[in-house]
Amino acid sequence: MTDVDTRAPATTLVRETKDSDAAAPNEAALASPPTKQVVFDTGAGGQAVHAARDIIDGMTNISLWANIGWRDIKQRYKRSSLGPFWVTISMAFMVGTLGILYGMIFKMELGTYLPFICLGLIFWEFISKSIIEGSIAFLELEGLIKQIRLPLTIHIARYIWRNVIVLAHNAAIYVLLALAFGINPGWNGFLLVPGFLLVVLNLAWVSLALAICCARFRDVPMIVATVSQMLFFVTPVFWSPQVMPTRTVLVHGNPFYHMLEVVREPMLGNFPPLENWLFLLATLILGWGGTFMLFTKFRRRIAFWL
Amino acid sequence: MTQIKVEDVRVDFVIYQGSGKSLRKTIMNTGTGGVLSHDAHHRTFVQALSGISFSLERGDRLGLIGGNGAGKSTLLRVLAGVYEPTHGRVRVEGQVTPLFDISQGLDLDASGYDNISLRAAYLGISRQEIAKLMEDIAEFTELGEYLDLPMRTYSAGMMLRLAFGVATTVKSDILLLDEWIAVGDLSFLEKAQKRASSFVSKSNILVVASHSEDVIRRLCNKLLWLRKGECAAFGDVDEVMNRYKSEQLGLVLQSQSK
Repeated sequence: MTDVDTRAPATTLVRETKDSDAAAPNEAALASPPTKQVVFDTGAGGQAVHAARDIIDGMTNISLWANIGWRDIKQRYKRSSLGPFWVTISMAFMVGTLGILYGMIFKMELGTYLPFICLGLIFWEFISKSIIEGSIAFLELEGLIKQIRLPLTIHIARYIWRNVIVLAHNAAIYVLLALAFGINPGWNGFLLVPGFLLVVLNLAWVSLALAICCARFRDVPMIVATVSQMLFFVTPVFWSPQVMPTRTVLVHGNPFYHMLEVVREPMLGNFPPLENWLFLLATLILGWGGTFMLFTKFRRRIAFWL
Repeated sequence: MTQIKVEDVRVDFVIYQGSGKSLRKTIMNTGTGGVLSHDAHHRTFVQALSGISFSLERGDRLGLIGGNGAGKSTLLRVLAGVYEPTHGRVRVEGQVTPLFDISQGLDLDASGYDNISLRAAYLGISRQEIAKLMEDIAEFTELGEYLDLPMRTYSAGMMLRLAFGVATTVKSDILLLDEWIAVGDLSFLEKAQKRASSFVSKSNILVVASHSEDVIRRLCNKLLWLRKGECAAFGDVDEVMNRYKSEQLGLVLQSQSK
């Protein structure tokens, strides 16, 4: 990237929750109720500090992103009578048709294949939609970003959250299948919690990095859509990695394979191998490291790119 | 302590011409060498603001005047913290409520009530507080049953009523207004100006960009005249306004004599 203005001094926004030393006690008492003073100062601290603040403030403002993400979903289905359950219905059809079709192609028993493909499809929907929508978050919210100062990462959190809501609607399909086929994940089922957390935190950096790139380069959204379509077939979503004769790089080098495994396997009652966990931990650390550098460098230019 | 401090602020806009914004060009350009000349060849800067310095204290009501493209809106956005200056420093203390492009940040499919709570949420107001303020806002807008209808059915003036109602009802220290006066009807303008006056009387800071001399004289006690992104004059309303008007008059006469 050549798009850096090296002449510019460090200028960023800082958000302080309270006025620490500036206000003398008696002065604070004079001012109406002691409210939080929002201060921003483009000259205080380095870029990295402000990038970190943005991330922390954005992620921790749960009431805002949860509220607005939920509103997004309600808004999307406002005038339909079934509302968000349309997502569930269309997903159920997808699971049913693909499940039966590929079950026959792969000559697998429906009792094992249907739950497998169901989990694969609903988690894939979550992963891919989070990335596709997250990457255009800044573009879509241009009007808001140019009007009200909010941590940019709040928009990413909002977009991921609304996909979590969709996922929750889709989860109903798996619950039904598990009941029908008598699947009990047992204790391993609880591994879904750390697995899902690992997936979401990984998706957060991918979304943020892509959202920054998409704000600057308008070809990136198309690239993201194309690549994610390809990944649907490359990643073991509807085919089992066990049918791969050798442990190929194509499967084990694909981060989305690992994301899928740490959430799908616990739900089937299996313990995802250590390899999955380590891989995702590595991408989490490296990914956030790289994204943080990107964000530090370009955060204050994003509003100008839009 | 509510205050605004602007020190030697410059804002540059980089213009990415057409396909220049695409990835292909950057890859191709870096690929064929000439990374250094790349900047010079493909980036055009527009200096929207330069060398702007001023500070505002409690009770200050600043008007911004200047021709189209003089940088009024950019300066408001800098004060709102959405544009960070390329050079210089901005320090704002206090809760800022911006009111720029009124239709932005509104959800046209949602009802008026929904939009009130949405806007208030963006401004950092909790749900409980919004519920408390809702009646006050609804009353101010005078939109009555329209508030239950989707915003799609609203006229520009009605949207303004809603946006203005929210912006002036929520607790804030600094109010930033951009050309908000244009679409309101007379009775609303009267009301809005009263609101704005009562806002500033609570020793808050108001910054308003407007072409209307009347609005500025009524609301402001300081005036900043922007000319091509630079500060042409800053100070007392009468003095700056007279200088601005005489220059405008000179320009008009000049173009007529040609």
